[in-house]
Amino acid sequence: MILKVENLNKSYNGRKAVDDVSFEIDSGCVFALLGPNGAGKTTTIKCILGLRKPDSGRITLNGSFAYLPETKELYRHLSVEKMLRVTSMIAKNFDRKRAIELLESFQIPLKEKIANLSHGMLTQTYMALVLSQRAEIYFMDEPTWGLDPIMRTRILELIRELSYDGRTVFYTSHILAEVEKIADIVAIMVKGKIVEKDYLDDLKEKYVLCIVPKGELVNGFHYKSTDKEDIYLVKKELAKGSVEPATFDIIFEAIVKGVK
Amino acid sequence: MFKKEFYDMRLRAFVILAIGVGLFFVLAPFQDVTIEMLKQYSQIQNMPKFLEKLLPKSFIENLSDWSFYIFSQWFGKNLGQMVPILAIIMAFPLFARENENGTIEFLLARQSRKKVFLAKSILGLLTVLGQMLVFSLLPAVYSFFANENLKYSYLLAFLVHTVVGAIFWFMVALILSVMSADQVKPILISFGLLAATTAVGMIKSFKFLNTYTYVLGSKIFQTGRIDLNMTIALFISSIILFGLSYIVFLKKEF
Repeated sequence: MILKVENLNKSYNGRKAVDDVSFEIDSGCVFALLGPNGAGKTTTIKCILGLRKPDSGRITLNGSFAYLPETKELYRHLSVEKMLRVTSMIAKNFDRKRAIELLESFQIPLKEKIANLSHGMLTQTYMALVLSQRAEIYFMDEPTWGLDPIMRTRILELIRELSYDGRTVFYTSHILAEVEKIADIVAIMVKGKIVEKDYLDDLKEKYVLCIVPKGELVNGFHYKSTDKEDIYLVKKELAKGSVEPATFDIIFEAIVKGVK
Repeated sequence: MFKKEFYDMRLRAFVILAIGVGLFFVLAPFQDVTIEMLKQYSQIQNMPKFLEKLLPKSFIENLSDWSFYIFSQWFGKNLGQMVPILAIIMAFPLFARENENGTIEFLLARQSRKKVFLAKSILGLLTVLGQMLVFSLLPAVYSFFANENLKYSYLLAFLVHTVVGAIFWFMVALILSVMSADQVKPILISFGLLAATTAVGMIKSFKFLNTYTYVLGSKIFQTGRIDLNMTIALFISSIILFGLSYIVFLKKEF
């Protein structure tokens, strides 16, 4: 176990951003924390890393970490090359050669000023700095946001390679398709609570859609309604009526919509 | 971490150093010119009374003495006026710039809060101390090469006042820099506090608030000694402000 979070709570002005969250992550897996905007994903990461102070709870982090924040801000007045120099001054286990290789593969000009990089290029530069830092767990908050599909695939490959190398990835994203590609374990967070957590394959096995006559109550997450029927996402053993398989997108959507 | 901080502040530090040294060389070699100019002013017919008070004849005569000239015009005027301002300029961006630009997360994901705080504040403080030492010792170096006779016992007293005044205002701007999410507030509030304490300190019962009286060395001119009470008070206040800045930084959320 590399990370254990127990009963984590964090509020802002009386509003609960993280509500009694508990989970564990084993070494070498890709853990994806999913949820709509404002679900509390970033606050959870920031509490784990000590950037925010939890109201209560216990966090055990057994190893070194690297962090790609949601807002990718680097020193805008520096060139990419100088940014590498600054990073090697302050980061432990930073492999500058590896960073240069990655930046060259991303086609980021080393002489270019950070301020002149596009959003996508800035994300790739930040990603290169994070991936070049040798750590046991990598926290990545929306790592592919704003990237083109080719670069997104490349970044996902690099993330996957980390886990092949025995390192752990804690990852948040809005893009379900990419989560399906790389995540081992998925946790769905809604309104500050983790409402579902399981291996991705088990999660897809666990749920089905059941279609029942309108008004009939089913123990599950209401997904949608037609004129005559209600459609619920339910655990397989609780299914009744007409049953259909549920895709990961549907599971996510139904859970998010179904949490009151 | 120290390297990175030096990298960040080197331009600001060298510009301030150059301005300070430049100001000294605009003053030191021109003792005769200054005296001549002031004499001409004092000979104006029907001079307003407040100007007569500002430029008493005895003061102009005293300026012929090299020590009096350099202590009154450098420490008591040019440098003295700049000390709090230079210290604030060195301190205000230390944390506020990282907060404003969102780069503080980049640092805190790689170094502990303690290391980040100490690297930034101590390097900033050492830089200010270095600048103040250079500015305060320039008269001694210049006097040596220009064969001028300087009262070195006074120099030490002015050095202490300059350094302690600079440390105090550095610490005021430091805590505001730690607390602030942007760079505008710490610089505006620091200068506001400097102006307010100077203005309120002109009222007799609140004169202890006027740090300019201390930095410009009024007591040294009156007694020939360091103002020990104010030195201790400002030094202790600086330590308290430093401690508070550290606690605020440890507890701050990013």
